[in-house]
Amino acid sequence: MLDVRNLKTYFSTDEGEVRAVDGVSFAIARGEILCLVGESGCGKSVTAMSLLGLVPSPPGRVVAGEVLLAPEQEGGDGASALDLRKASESELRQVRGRRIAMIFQDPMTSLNPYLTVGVQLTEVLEVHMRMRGEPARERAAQMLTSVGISDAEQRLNDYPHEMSGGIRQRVMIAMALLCEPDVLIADEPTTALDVTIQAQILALIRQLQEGTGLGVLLITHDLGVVANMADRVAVMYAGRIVEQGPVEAIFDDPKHPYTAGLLRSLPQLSGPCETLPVIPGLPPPAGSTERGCSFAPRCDRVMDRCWQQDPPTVRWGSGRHVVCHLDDIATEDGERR
Amino acid sequence: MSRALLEVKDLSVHFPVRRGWFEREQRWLRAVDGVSFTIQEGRTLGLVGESGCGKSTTARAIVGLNTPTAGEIHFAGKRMADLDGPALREARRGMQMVFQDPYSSLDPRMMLGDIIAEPLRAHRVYRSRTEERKRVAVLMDQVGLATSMSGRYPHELSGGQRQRAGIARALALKPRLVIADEPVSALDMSIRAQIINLLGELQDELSIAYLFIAHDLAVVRHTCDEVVVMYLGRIVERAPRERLFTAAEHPYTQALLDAVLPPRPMRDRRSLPLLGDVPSPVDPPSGCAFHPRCAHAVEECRVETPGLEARSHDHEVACHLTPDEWRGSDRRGADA
Ligand SMILES: Nc1ncnc2c1ncn2[C@@H]1O[C@H](COP(=O)(O)OP(=O)(O)O)[C@@H](O)[C@H]1O
Ligand SMILES: Nc1ncnc2c1ncn2[C@@H]1O[C@H](COP(=O)(O)OP(=O)(O)O)[C@@H](O)[C@H]1O
Ligand code: SF4
Ligand SMILES: [Mg+2]
Ligand SMILES: [Mg+2]
Repeated sequence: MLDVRNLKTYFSTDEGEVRAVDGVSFAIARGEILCLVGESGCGKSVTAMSLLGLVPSPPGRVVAGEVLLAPEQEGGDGASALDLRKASESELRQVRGRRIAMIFQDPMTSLNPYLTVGVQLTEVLEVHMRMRGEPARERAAQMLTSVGISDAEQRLNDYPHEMSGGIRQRVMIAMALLCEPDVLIADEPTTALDVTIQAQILALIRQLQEGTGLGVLLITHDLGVVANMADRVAVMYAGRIVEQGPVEAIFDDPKHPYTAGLLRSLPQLSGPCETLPVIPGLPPPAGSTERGCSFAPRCDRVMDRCWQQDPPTVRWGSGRHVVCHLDDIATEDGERR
Repeated sequence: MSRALLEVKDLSVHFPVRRGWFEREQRWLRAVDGVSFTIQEGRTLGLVGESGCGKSTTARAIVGLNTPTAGEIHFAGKRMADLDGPALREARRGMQMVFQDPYSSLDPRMMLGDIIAEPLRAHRVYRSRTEERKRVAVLMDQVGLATSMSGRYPHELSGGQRQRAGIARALALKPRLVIADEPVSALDMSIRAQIINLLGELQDELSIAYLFIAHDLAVVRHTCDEVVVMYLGRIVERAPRERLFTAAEHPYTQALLDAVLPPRPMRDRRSLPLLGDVPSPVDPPSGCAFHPRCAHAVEECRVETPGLEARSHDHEVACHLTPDEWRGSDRRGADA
């Protein structure tokens, strides 16, 4: 559905060029949830913004890559994919909201505090679907009901600030899915919520997604969320994806020392309860490594060549890949490139 | 035998609600409503619950930032309300706070060394600058900050480094109790584990007691000896760590445990999430305040407020039902 190839987004700052996203590739199939996981500052949000041409410019600039969006009708009239990087601003406006929708950690960044929820939902319908008046209102109410909001008719008259954080996030989801997009980008949608409300919202996203062709890019820093939601996982570190693959493979057999280290260091509800095996040090700013592996300063298996050469990408048929110098990573079917 | 360091007895903190145009009566927000617990010397008590349940208000009342509406706080054998002047200052020195947001809890215009030295200066601990510097260096070393960083400003530090600085400052006056309000919630995964370990090492080294406030139960399991679960200003369950995580007796505790997402893909584990939001503490539900969200509520729960009762010598629960009665029953939908 969405195929991102070698995406690079740089920022020019006082300290020079920041390579916030430095050659990121991934694909989201129809009906699939891809989780992009990493610690703050590693480039997750900039990746998402780059897809939709939303990077603030200046200082930001998407300098390379392709963002290919498959044509609307599957197996249609052979129309080719649209490269969003080459799309005009008006084409992009059509895509945003209509074919790719986005929700954020803080719903208030996309909800207008001065307008009722009803006005905002019907506005979206008017812009993208040319739907007005009573039918639009009905569709909006129906959407609120489907995201689990009771008394939907009533709630259409509410202002965003009259709602709890969880309800607001539901409204955001309703708004995002109003025009039945093909791809939903959700940037830390539950990070600000209590675990109980997080569980509700995640269950909702899954319920709305299952059985539809909706592809989801779910951005999170929480490996618990990843384990629960993802079909596939991309682990990001300092502007690059260091490991990618099916969710079971990543959790059962993490191959990159960063992924493995993170999983070991997580406090859990069961198992031994002693000192946590930590990854020492701090994540570097995205794209600050000149040469070699950006994880080298923190890696427990670092070797000489890790400092000197960029690590190779090892690929498996399952769509899994790992970017690391370690020899034992390449198994029989792993191919070094 | 361990000794009680902090005793909170029947603590209530109610805030007046701003009155509307036609309201005659003053209404109250019962942020904390009759909370009691004890922390032993050198031990860690975890305080958990959804946001708004009164955790921070409890913490602030203990250190004197919120005035209790009712109840008593005893610290190191002394009733705080009886103390004033130097005795109160002395008692306050013994309890220090660490906050969630290292960004807003450190003065952005001060250098790291001065931030850590500030409590020492406020309490005139050292007469000479050299002694003070030595102490600051020891503190920075204890929390894993290079002394070469003492000239940095908070914005030049990472979140984890700022939290280390916050901890160093809290330790400056050698407190016996550190109240840590969500100390790792804002930190990244790899840094969270570092700070959890640091707090543990400091406890072993300095035998500090912690009141550890968190909403992440997995973190609580790794840090606490005993856990108190709050809902809408009241304690619903108190139990030793192992017991709480293996044999929770309050349906709310169980719901919180179920909401934790383990970092393991398990497609079929998904239980029904806890429904609804926390109700307003201004107008709490009748009976058991949890009943509108409880999957097991019976008629009695709507009418009668359950008291916190001992189920064993160290396990207290405020629920009309026993786990035998509620486990395996999900009444949601049955009466809808
Ligand atoms: N407006 C900006 N100006 C300069 N640098 C930026 C800007 N936005 C983001 N960056 C840089 O991009 C990096 C990645 O940021 P972001 O994608 O927001 O991280 P994440 O979402 O993973 O926490 C940051 O480390 C930051 O240095
Ligand atoms: N100074 C205050 N004035 C009025 N209400 C307050 C004040 N401080 C906290 N509250 C209210 O008290 C309740 C408990 O808040 P708090 O202790 O911060 O919860 P928690 O830390 O568990 O999230 C909330 O409903 C909050 O809005
Ligand atoms: S390339 Fe080297 S430093 Fe980087 S993760 Fe692999 S082993 Fe560690
Ligand atoms: Mg982000
Ligand atoms: Mg709080």
